Order: sequence, then C-alpha cells, then structure tokens
Amino acid sequence: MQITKSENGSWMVLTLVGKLDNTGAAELEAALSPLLTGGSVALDFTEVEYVTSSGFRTLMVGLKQQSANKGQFVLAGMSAPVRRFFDIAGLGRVFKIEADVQTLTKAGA
Amino acid sequence: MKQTLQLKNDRREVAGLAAWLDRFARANALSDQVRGNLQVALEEVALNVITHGYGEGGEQRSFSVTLEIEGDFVSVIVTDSAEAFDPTRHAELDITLPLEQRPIGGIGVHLVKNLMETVGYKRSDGQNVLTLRCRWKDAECAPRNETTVPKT
Repeated sequence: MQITKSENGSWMVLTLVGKLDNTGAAELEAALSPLLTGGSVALDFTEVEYVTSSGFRTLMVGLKQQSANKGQFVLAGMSAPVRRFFDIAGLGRVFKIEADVQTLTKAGA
Repeated sequence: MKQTLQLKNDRREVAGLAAWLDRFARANALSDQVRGNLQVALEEVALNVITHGYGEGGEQRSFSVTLEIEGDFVSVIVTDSAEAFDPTRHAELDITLPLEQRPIGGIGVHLVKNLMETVGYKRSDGQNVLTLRCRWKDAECAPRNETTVPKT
C-alpha cells in the first residue's frame, strides 16, 4: 500500500492507495502510530481497493487511541464497495465517514 | 479454469496469495467487487490456518488453496492438516455492540460468512477442507441471506 502524509489546515491527512490487507495494515500502523496523540487525523480512502480484517484491526486501534486522547479520527472519500465492507463488519456507524477530505478540511470540523 | 497454490505457515505468504488471486481474477475477468470479496475472505482463512491452525516459527508445514471457476461460481478450497477447526461453527460476532465493548478481533470469520454465498466445512482424512463459493456472473458475490447485515 502506498501512503502519503500531508497537512491540510489543522488536519493531518494520510492518503492511502492500494489494498488495506495484512501487508497494508502493517504499513498503515507504522505511518499512523506517531499521529495518534490527539489532534485531527483523516484517512483518504478514495484509492483503497478493499479492507481485510487486519485492516479493520489497525483502524479500530487508531480510533480507540484517538478517542482516548480526545482527538478526531475520520475516514473520507470511500467508494461504495469499500463502504460495504464496513457495513458488513458492523463498523459503518462506528467510524466517522465523510464524503471527501476537501469538504472535511474546509469545514474546519 | 482451476489453479492450486501451496502456502507455508508464515504470514508473509499472504502477500503472494493476494498477487496470485489478482492474476486469477484478471485472467477470468472477475469484477473488482468479486475480486475484493475473494481477497478479504481468502486472507482471513489463510491467516487463520497460519497463525492459529499451524502456528508460526515451529516446524514448516504447508496447506493448499485451489481456485476454480464452475459455471456462474468461483469456488475456493482451502485444505490444511491442522487440528480440526470448523469456522462455520464459530460464535457469531455481535456487531451491534458500541466500540468500547467491541473485541478488536473476531471480524474476520464474520466477514467471510457474509461476503461468500456459501461456506462449507468438512473434516476428511485428517484434514480441514473449507469450501467458499461466490457467484461471479451477473452478481456481486453476496450471501444469499443478508439478514445479518445492518442497514446503515
């Protein structure tokens, strides 16, 4: 998985490209862990192909840690097929999922 | 078209498994959605065999994955010689629990059951034989009964 870090206003954005599978989850965990100190973190899912349970595990750790640190953890730009994996896993309402990163960072939410 | 891949009890093997499945999907013109569903289900089953069935680090052991197109269906057969384990009898995940009460694990088997149309298990000649089937033609590879999927 290709991961690009950028800053957009008060948001730290990780743009993910490829498979959020076992290999991708380990890469995401390495990129994500230094950011889980509170503050606003968004993951751009536009180019994510699919999410396996290893991927969900990393995302749940991220959400739990950000919640504990009173930070934000938002997923954005998810395609319908990828969103379906979240719904099947029962996580569609557990995560905050926004339409796209641009709207999110502009709104200053 | 039928292909078989042998895998070892090392979790790094799943990257090769994903690449092999991508090639199979391309060769058989499977849709991205069907390919994604198969990838998610197969990684879960393979990691279960590697980390729970065999365990890593000890004696090297192998298991096989067979992909086959049969009419409107893709079937995936995973055969290992670990102790008997029937994932179809695995406890159901309570996906209505709030985040704080959710176990971090346990999503995998739930995903497999809900992404495949049928999941069958048999113990045969000291081996676990798990068969996953999903429709690839004119369909999105969904389970026949979606009642366990919450509408969000």
